[in-house]
Amino acid sequence: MFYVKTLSHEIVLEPVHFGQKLRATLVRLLKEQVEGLALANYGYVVNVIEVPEDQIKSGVIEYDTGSVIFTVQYTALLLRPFIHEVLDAVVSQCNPLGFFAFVGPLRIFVSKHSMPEDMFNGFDGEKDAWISDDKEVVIASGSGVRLKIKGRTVEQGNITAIGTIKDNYLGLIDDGEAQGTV
Amino acid sequence: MVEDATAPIENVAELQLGKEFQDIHILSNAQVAVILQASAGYAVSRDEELNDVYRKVQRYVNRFTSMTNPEKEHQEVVDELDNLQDALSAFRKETEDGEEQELHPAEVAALMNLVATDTMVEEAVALIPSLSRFPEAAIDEILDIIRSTIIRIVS
Repeated sequence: MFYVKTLSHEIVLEPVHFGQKLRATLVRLLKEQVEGLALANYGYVVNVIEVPEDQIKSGVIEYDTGSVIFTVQYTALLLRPFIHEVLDAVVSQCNPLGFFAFVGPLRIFVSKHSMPEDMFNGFDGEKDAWISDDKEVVIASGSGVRLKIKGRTVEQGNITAIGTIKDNYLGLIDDGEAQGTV
Repeated sequence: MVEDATAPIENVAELQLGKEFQDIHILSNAQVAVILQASAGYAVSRDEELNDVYRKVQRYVNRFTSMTNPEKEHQEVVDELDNLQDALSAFRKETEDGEEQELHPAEVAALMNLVATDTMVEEAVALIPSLSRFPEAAIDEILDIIRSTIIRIVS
């Protein structure tokens, strides 16, 4: 789910940046450091929406280095998978254990145990797709699927979620052909 | 460390988001598309590169928003979406006890993301289980509000 929240971040500014453009430099550094980051609890920071001017308080001088530490508050657009939420995702890769799908930067894995019974044995290595017994449903790279989040793990700066398409109204939405490459 | 989904401190199906997420503002995909578009224009005007995560999210929201119409005036679509969100947030239903029920922001966002013109009550409740606290007629009303907005935007 996408949401907006106010967060705070510490920026270390070297004296060379002091001067008239101090605030602009702070904002620029904040965006460079924080945008795209995966925060363990809050999710991916997609975009820094606003850095209110009055929220940039005075900095504290670090005596050892001479640099100044600013604690900046900013409003950010974040993306975080919530347990039991239903999302649409784009399939990127199929393997014998299941498939990977992405919601923007968020990677979701759906194992074959979380697929409907008639797809359990449906992995086709040649076509690189999961196909149902009646051949009606083909989940391949580029397809859109609707899935439910069951769990979440954070590792090495990336968030991976576990999903399922076993419940009613979940599963293949479109085959991705009309969309072109993702 | 995998979070234990069987002991949910967090369970969006029951509208429990966790104590840190009580005061957040939840957005639907369509609204995110609007924000990113504005931000992209701003960055381009300052000759900045858009980072990877940003571009991935933009591709995602542009693909999965049912409420868009490239032929329509951008501002018109934005206004329709704002009206829809206001209508859903302001939706109130009196229960038998005389108490008022309203839609949680997570439900409003999920409804705007997942509902299409042919979505029926059964599907909506399957996808968003917390809606089951409303009577069927109320859910139908909610779906109707969304349906008419989609039709207005797409036509």
